Amino acid sequence: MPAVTPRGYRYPLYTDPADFPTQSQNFATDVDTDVQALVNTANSALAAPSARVSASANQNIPANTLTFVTFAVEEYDNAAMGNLGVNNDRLTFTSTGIYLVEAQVNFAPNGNATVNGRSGEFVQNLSAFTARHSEPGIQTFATEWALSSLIKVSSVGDFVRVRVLQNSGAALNIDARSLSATKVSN
Amino acid sequence: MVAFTPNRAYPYATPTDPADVPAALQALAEAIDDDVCALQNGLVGRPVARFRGTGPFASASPTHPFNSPPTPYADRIPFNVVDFNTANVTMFPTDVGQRLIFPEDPGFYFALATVLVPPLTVAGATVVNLGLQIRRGDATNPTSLVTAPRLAGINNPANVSFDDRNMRLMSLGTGAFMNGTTDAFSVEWRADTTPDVSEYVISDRTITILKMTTS
Repeated sequence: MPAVTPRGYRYPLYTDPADFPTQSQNFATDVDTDVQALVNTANSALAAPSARVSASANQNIPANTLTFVTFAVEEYDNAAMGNLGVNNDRLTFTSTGIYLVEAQVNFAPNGNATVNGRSGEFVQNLSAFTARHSEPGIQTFATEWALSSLIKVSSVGDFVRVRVLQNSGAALNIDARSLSATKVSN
Repeated sequence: MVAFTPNRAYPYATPTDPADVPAALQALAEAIDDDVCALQNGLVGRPVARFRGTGPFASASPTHPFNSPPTPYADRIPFNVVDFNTANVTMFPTDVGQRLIFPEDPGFYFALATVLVPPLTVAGATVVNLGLQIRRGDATNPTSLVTAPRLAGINNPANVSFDDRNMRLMSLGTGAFMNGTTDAFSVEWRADTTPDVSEYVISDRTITILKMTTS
């Protein structure tokens, strides 16, 4: 009965019947399988699951109301993280690990009497936010912010959304906006 | 006749081959050796590059509008120093109408731009907005008058003040697919003041690019 190395390569013992063709095939096949798995692992490590979704059409943001940003275009998605036909406000993770997520939102110029602030945050799954940004708005220019964070994805099916808030006293549109995620570690 | 394994094509003897154990083992060992060496040579770190701009760069005055500037390429920040580059990224010249950062390999990239912004020191002038954008320009047509798609941006009226210890580092990150043939990053800086001052000058700036996928 052949012995096996720690990596799973079979080799004959003195007590085994002499059958060089079969034994060399077993060894070659075992190494083949092992090396191919290493190649696949290396390739996967350099091809991190990544996705970017975006939109440019106006989305109405009521005043003083936490609102999830919606997206319309899957610009890139190599891991089936975006499914805008089902949920147009999120990226859903298809593998666990640490992800670098980024979002940007552009608020239209403020024609309202009150300017006040524009804020946004990442919302992972259904509650806890992981990063937040807030800044003052502008009366005559668009107000734009970008947000980056590392988040830990513990379960396949976890998702991330972007939630915004503005308190200009009346509804305000957002136009250019995007959300991207790329895996940086297991 | 020698057979080969399905994935890596390692040769092994078959029962109909002449019995020559040393030659068969040598062929198998050398094939594995070559393959593992190639695999080892291919194990490299994630491609990354950082470019730096030194010297002053002034925002146009009055500032150009974000979405319909008269010359979209005029607001690009020039970069003139390669800090490191293992990602096959080309830094365009610093001339107006160039100033692109061109990843020559397709893939999904994470880009991080930073700009050091000093306070506005013109007496009586106030900041209306400070804006930093990363856009996807066209490396084959860098002076296109079609406004490049915006990948990410920061734009707000928050003046740089003592609260910033008189120097603010504006930073902006984004993830985007670049096609390796035409897509190039451009970083744009705009400032608008009331009244308009002749220029609002920034100093050091960087763009760091991390390649996240193999295609």
